[in-house]
Amino acid sequence: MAVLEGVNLKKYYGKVHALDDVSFAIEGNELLAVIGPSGSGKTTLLRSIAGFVKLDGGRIFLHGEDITDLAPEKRNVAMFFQNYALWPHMTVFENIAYGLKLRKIDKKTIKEKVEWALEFLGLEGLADRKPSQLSGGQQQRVALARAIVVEPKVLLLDEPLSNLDAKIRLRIRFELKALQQKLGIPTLYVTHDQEEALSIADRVIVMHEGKILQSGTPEEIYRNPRNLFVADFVGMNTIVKVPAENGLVKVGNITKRIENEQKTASVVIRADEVNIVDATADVSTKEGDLVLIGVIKDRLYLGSKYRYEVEVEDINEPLFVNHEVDVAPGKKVKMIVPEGSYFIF
Amino acid sequence: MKRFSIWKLTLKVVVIILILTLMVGPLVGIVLWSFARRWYWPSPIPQEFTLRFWHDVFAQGRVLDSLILSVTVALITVALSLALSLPAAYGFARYKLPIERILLILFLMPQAFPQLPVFINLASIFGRIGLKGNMWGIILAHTMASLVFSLWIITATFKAIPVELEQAAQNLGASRLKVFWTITFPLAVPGLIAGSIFVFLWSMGEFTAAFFIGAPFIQTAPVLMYTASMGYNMQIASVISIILIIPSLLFMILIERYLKAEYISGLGG
Ligand SMILES: Nc1ncnc2c1ncn2[C@@H]1O[C@H](COP(=O)(O)OP(=O)(O)O)[C@@H](O)[C@H]1O
Ligand SMILES: [Mg+2]
Repeated sequence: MAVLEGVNLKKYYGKVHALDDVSFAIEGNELLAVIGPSGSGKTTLLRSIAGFVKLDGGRIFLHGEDITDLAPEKRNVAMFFQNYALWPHMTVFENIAYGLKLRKIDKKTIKEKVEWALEFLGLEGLADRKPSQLSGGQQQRVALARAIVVEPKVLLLDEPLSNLDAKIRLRIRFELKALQQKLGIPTLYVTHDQEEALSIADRVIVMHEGKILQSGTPEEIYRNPRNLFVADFVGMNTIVKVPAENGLVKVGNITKRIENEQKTASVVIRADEVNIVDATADVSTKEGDLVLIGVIKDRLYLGSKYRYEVEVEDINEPLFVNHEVDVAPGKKVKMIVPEGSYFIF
Repeated sequence: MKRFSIWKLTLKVVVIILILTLMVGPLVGIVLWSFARRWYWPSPIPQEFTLRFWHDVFAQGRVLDSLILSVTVALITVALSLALSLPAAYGFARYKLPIERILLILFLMPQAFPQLPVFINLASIFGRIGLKGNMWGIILAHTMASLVFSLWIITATFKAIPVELEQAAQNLGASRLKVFWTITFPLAVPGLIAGSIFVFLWSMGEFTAAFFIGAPFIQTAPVLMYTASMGYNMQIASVISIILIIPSLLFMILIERYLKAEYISGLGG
């Protein structure tokens, strides 16, 4: 049985379909990530599970029990709020102990549990501070401690890293994953950062305008996107439009069959996975690899690599691809895009 | 923390200086008047000083009685006004009613609309139900009138508390009532303090209702002061007005000291 299951969830705000027939399930102790651009309904989904949004349709089950109409305080799903929602009038200790006190646990046990949480999250020595005296990263960990210390059945994380600096974010991403695995709490992790989701999730759901477009393992989502939106949303891409005739699209050496009525097709190329060689070089390619000939128009130095603007024969738009080899502008090059690194829709 | 309190201190000092400049000017005149035997224009200070009027005021028990009445009325008005505003303001703040505009209009209305006929009318109604010449009549009138601004201030206070702070508590298992007393209320304390000070000061200084409803049996301090200055006794009026300031100052200091300390030590913890 699924730990947490949503069946045909619907939520409308006037004309906006914040949740449009959303179904999902969390199995075992997995970390399920929900990704999608801002406004796609991710927060609404979390808040409806926590009980703060009244659904217009659908049911939610926690360990098989229907919790759709249960009051928020009776659900035992701990929510991590995007802006932390720490209580400014309480110390770190009081913030973390709050949920335990409500559970009528004796003082000594509360103290032990809070101290465990403080140590677990590297917050030793901060117990008596007020939230306003903490850095963003520390506040984030206090909010996390407050949620996990009550041993919830499910952890709901709403963009837990979005308020942190880029560098800290990268480090904490993996700490969070390690922590989730150590605790073994089933987790629903909402983020608009696809890279973050792909790197830590066991499974990923892609949402757009209240709908689930695709769900699967990070590899499935990345290597087998079902449509243009998903292909474009994950990874670093360069996209060009090409004409389609009678349901056939021709790009470089590749011809692909698509829906008949489409006049143009989109080619999505993973910008980091393109090999650039001299146009005359004789490189062996596999069946299914996309080979494009073009001229380097411009070059941008990015540190570990260069970003190239390439004008490709028969394509009106420039391609932007990354490669570590230094090639001078004006040079004619051959670009080899392996199968699975480009998609035509 | 250190720097924070230094800034706070500086801000406090600046505010106090500002208040003093605004208050001291008129106050100096009043203090001088209360000791003046003779003070003719254009002399900047009285020609002759005396303690007689201070003595007179305290010799007649009337002044002390009025003062006690005023403080009692103000305190009960604050209590009633808070007790009534608290739940209503919370409802207005959380259920997003367009109440703010209505309150603002109500708040401004007395400025555009003469209070006199309203209170005279009220006095005649109170006369019929035995509330005229009665402390409770004044309290009732003061509570009704001050409800507008205490509602306004407290609604704004509740609105400023992010709803996520309440939801976080609810999410961890707190009932609605528990959330209110452990999260919302402690966070609203500064606003409640501001509201009470406002209501207290207003009630202490209110004249019209106190005059018409209190008559003929009881006189609050402002009414007594008014009567005294109508008798062209500037000195008696000055003495009373100085005495009238004292409970207000005391109230402000006490409530700031006591409730702030309580608040900082974690009322909600
Ligand atoms: N309380 C609300 N009232 C009206 N519209 C809302 C409300 N909450 C969310 N929405 C709308 O629902 C959609 C989904 O919002 P949200 O779940 O916050 O998206 P996300 O978290 O993915 O950015 C958005 O179009 C948003 O404007
Ligand atoms: Mg959101």
